[in-house]
Amino acid sequence: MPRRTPPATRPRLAAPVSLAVVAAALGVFAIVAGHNAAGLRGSTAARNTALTDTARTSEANGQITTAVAGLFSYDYAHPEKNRQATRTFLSGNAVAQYRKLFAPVLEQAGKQRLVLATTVTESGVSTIQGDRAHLLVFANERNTAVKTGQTVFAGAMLAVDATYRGGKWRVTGLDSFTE
Amino acid sequence: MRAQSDENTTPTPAEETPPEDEDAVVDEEADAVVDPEDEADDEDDEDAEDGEPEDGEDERGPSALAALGGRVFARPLLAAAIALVVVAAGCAVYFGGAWYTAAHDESLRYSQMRDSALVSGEQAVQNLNTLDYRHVDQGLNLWLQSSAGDLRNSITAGRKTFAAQVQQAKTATTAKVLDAAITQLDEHAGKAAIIVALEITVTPAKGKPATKQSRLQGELTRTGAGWKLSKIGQVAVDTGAGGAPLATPAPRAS
Repeated sequence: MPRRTPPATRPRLAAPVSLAVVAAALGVFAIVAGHNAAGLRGSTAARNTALTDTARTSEANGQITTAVAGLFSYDYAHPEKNRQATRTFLSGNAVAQYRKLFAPVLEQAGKQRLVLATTVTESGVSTIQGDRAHLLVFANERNTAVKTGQTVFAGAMLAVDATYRGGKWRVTGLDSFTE
Repeated sequence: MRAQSDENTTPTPAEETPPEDEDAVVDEEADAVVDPEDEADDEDDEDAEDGEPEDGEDERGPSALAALGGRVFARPLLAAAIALVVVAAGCAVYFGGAWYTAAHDESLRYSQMRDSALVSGEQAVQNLNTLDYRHVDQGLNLWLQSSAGDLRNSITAGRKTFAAQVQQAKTATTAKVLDAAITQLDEHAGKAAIIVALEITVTPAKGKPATKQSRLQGELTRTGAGWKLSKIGQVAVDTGAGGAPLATPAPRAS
């Protein structure tokens, strides 16, 4: 007498099916929420810790300020100080970029007995992503030719890429906007 | 009386409920209700209905066998469905929480504020360094839209004089932001400081366009319509003009 069997199966399926629907709804919510959370966390704004991480921002700012001042200062009587700065602060592409930028100074340095003093007046860290940072630096230059006794002042601006390695920020990219 | 044997074989009201009935447990308990009219048939039905009788369970009686037959079919599904709901609920709570905390994260909000200040600041500086004598009014309206506070006031105050000067000189000025950075951001005060490396091209009525670089420093103020420039000025050099390339030795008179 099989007449009694079929009615039993349908209601027994009802519960699992309903639960599966609930599970699917929860699953959809989880996916949407996860996607949104990842979108917020993974956004360019979120990955950039400039200013949000104040300690790291001021560390990068301070070290790059020192680096730029050292790299673009030169005393014909003590050229080793500048060479020391290039070894300490330059890395990667910046080595060649700096050489190109600074070549005219070195060319004149001996003949004119140049004393070039660079001070950073403004600097801002626009991005820090992990161990990479980008800064915009404004600097003042005081260039004295001891031979003629003449001093000239100039303002400069420089975009700097920096990389954090071994507990120090080093200059890995230099752009003086001259090209 | 073998009332027990009626389990599962009697079409009780509960078993006939439509599929919307979500509670399978209720179904099984309802099965125990005996319909006296069907008693006589039960013995015959047992073997037919328990298509796969579990031999080891025989001593528990036909009723247990019958229930098992139902459970083998219903319970694993139900258990799987419950497990699925639990897992899905866990995921929903976890990711929902992650979404909530991300949406209410202070440093995340600060990052977004920094970026919107930078974008608005760059645009405002560019706008304020762009003016075409053929569309002076349009250009100056854009200046007003990009500024706030003291800067806006001074633009309003000097507007007529300035427009007349530009129209007389017949110059068109365009600007390009080379690089920029927010140097300070005060969330509560709604103020930000920005530095901008700018390239300005001035095209006179006759002659070639002249390009120069400019170092600018400004203050941004948050308004109801976004970040606006409230101060802007060139960064001064001790002497001489700004924007000279860094490594080029300053010209010397010989």
